[in-house]
Amino acid sequence: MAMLQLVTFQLGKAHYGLDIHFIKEVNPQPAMTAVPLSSDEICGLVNIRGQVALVVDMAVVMGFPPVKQSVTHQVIILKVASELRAIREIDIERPELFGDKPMGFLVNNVGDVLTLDSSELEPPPPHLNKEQINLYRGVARLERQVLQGTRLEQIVLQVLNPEAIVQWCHRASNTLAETAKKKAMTL
Amino acid sequence: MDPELEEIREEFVAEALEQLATVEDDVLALERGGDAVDPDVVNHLFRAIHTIKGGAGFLTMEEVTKLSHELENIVDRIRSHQVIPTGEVCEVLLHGLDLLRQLLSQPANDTPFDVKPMLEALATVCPAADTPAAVLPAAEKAAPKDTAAEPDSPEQQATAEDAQKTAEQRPVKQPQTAQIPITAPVDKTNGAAPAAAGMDHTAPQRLRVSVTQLDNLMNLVSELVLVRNQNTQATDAKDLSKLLAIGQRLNMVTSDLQTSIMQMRLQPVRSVFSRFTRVARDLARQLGKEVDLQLIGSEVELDKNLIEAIGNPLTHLIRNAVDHGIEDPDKREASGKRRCGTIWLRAMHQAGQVKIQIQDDGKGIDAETIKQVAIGKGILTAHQAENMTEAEAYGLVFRPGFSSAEQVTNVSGRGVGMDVVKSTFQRLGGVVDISSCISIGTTITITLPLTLAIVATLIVEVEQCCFALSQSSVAEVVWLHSADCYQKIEQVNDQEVFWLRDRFLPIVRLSKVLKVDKTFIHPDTGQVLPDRRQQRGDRRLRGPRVDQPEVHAKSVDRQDSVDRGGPGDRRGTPERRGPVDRRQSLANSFFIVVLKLGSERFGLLVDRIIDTEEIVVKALHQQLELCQAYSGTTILGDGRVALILDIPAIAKLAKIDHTNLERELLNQGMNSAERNHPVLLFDLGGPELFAVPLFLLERVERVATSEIQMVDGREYITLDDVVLPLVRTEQALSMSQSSYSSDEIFVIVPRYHHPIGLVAANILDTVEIESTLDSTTISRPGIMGSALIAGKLALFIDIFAAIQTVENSWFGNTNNGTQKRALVLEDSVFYASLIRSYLRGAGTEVVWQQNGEEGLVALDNEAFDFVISDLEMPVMNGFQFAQSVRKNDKFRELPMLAISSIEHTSVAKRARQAGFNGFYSKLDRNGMLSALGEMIAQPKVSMVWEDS
Repeated sequence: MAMLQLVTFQLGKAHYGLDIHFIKEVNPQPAMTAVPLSSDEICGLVNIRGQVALVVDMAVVMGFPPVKQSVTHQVIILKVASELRAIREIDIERPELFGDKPMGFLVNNVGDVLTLDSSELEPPPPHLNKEQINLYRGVARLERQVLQGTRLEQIVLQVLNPEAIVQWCHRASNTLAETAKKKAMTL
Repeated sequence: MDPELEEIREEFVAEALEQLATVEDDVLALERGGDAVDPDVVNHLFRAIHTIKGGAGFLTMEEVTKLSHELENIVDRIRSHQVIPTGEVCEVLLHGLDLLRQLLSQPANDTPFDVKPMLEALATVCPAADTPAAVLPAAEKAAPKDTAAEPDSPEQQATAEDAQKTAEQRPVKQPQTAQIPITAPVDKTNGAAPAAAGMDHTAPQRLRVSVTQLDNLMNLVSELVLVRNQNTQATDAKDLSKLLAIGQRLNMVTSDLQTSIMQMRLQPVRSVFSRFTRVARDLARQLGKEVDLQLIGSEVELDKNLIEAIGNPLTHLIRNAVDHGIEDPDKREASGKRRCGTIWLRAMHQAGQVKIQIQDDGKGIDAETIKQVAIGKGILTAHQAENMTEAEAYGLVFRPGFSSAEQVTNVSGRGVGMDVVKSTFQRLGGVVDISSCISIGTTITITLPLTLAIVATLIVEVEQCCFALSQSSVAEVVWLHSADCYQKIEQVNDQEVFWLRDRFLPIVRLSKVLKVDKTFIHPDTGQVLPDRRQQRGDRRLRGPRVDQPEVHAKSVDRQDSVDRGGPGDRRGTPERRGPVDRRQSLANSFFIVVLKLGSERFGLLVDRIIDTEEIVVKALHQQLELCQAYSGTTILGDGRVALILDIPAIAKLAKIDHTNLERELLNQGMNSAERNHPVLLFDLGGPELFAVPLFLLERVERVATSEIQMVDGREYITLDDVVLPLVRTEQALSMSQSSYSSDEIFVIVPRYHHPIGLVAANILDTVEIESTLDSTTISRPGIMGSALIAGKLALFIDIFAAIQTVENSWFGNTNNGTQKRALVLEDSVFYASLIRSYLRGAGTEVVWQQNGEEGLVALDNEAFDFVISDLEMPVMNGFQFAQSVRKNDKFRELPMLAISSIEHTSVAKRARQAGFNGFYSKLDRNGMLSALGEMIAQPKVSMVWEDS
């Protein structure tokens, strides 16, 4: 059985996990440069040691209203295509989605790294629509203290599918461009 | 094949293949579009094939030339709507492109594939002489079913089989092309297409570097390592003085390292230039011409990327010069030129940029011919052509679909090429300029940046966001502060304009274009609040002053609606307000970055200019390309990320329409001349404030009283070996109050027909006033009128009248029978006074009327030597006036000069048609005054038209 190593974080009260293999680093509060005219989910650009990373607001991807960057926010920087291709441990179907320029997610409360057996994953909750279901690999019910400071409780950890999320971002900006084009045409 | 040619061939093939990779999508898009042919797509496709054809022609790759010529023909006919890109047509096109690719990838010495079957297939699908009506039934017969979904129609199969015979690889490639129409749209939406496209361009690139350079680099890197080690030691020891020294060393090593890396990327342009000798020779021979290509500055170095990219467009330009520029030897001889034409290809460094110039001594370009061709091709309307300057007409050759060659040949004359040339150079951050002189030759100048990797930029800030602007497009920066922020920017319909030295400049607010919320910092509380002011007309603190800021804000919104509309508002002079008024505070300021965009300019309004910085350009994330406002990103000195603004895109976003704006300004009669007049303020030591229009003055000098010489009871001074008689201003104005300092005085020297100086006690300031001159309140000889300047009443001196009163008393009245008489028609009191005063200064008697009708009456009753008339006047304007005057035989020869504040060639033309002998813009004050001078001296001389 394949073991999953997940970096956990929070959005609002919900807990999320992201496969550690896709993650290059977690960066606490980098200086963010806003990008006017970009689509809603884009928070801005950050400088990761000479490389410019595009930061996406994970809350918007998950269907929440956009968040303002605060003290508890951190940026999870994803690996780029070439780095993902070098990974042997897991199969990545479409590393090219991740491009040659780094991308990151603005999230809250990055916590521990969890190890799960992938058989523990259950299908995502049924109330999600088709598009949203795509973004999940599944959910795991954990009955332990997942994050520091939380009581022992049952936690639903939503395990995300990085490829689907990156794809979602591409699509979101494409949609924006198309609406803009249509608007320009009608004008 | 000689090695030189082999090298060129390799380069050409690589480029051609790259181009082919991009056109497949175009064909598919055409197929999808059906009847509605997208001109951009078809132009792109056409250009790509044309470029390949050109290169192949030069390299004598006959099969490629033939095939691409046929393909090009079809695309051309699609472009002109003669052929509809049905599935079948596109299928054949795709096969043709495939075959072209195979031909190109073939080793040079192999027997080329037979292209005949393909040529035949192309001819079948699109018979040369057929009209679309004839093509369609045939296509339907051949493919009764939906051709796009069912590509295996009998004819297409035949085509495919034909092609198959010619190539073994064919079966492998063909299914792919057939699949693409179905898969491509799907791919695009889920984001895989860009990634796949990105992979196409991963051909490995190599650069040859000399060992010395590499050693040098190694040396510097080891130095860098050393600095790091020292830094670690010094940090551990917390030795500040040592750290400072290390910082300095690091600085030096880094700059050295940067220079050497950049040096490695630079290559002499010789590598591109050298191939042109042959291009020119071969083409000249083919055309029966004699051409000598001179290469100058081959040693100039350019970034490798640029060197590679400029090859193709330059080839186009050289071929054009040979084909269109240089005449036939016989023709040349007949016009007294050498039989052998010369083309100079120059490269030179200029102001941190590289200039490449292609100059020929051929027949030159006739702007009129170009306009006619453009009208014929529907690129231009006759009306547009009429108002077009020569430079603009030359610019037409860069439009897609333009070609002035009478015959479409294999060489050139397809009307592509020049637009490719322009777009290629623009993509590289370059600018193309064209100038020409009939029968002397044509010069095309290309300005390119030294390198693409590092760009000199101006960093600007809007609402705490930094943006970089490429300095090559920045013309200048204007700083506006306090009240100027609101008074100097005018509104014309939806567009804000700024009068920059008598020229209008459309203003684009960066915050508005980027949709960033405007804020301001409250001066008292330091809070950041949203700024609600929309435009300069918003005078939030107008009306009775109340000390409660909240009340202000409320009362203002009501006030706004009153303020904005009325024209009287514009004329008001600035009133001094208390410190509460944010608009007046120095902290309230912004900058206008004047940007060049081809021949046009616009002003980008930003909050702050941070610095100039040389930045390393980083590619944009694909998601951000879709914003269509940025061309890249960079990391600033402080580690922050900044976006690089794409200036053409910003202009597009702001929807600036220069032509429309100009028309609008014309309609509204808005012009700077009736707006801002710089005036000199001075006093005579007394309480009165005096003003003189600055442009009537030649100079102002501070003179020690000891330098004044008395001769025969009159005062003189010597300035630059010229003796000036001095006129005491109070004397000229018959005023008594004056108190001069005992040490020094100021001498104001007006533009007058002989040197003379007006004495002032103190020079106070130069200010710009709006041209509302009150000529009724204060009226006395020598005074034109009064105006409020900064809350004080200033007297405008009629400088020439004032001088004359004094001179008359000196010399007696010089008026005699020879005095000229002028009729001046002008509705603006200010201008009328100005012209009158100038004419009188020159000894002319002036009759002033305010409109054309009054002018006609005056002409009937009195005799005049010449007429000066404004064009925009109430009741009867200048055009109507001139027409009526010219109808009368008596006045056929009467010299008439038109003046106008509208500076537009169409206006000058209209004035000429109406019967004026000359036209001068009021904006060109000096030109206008000197024209008046000429008129006085010799009224009969026909005036030179200033509208060229």
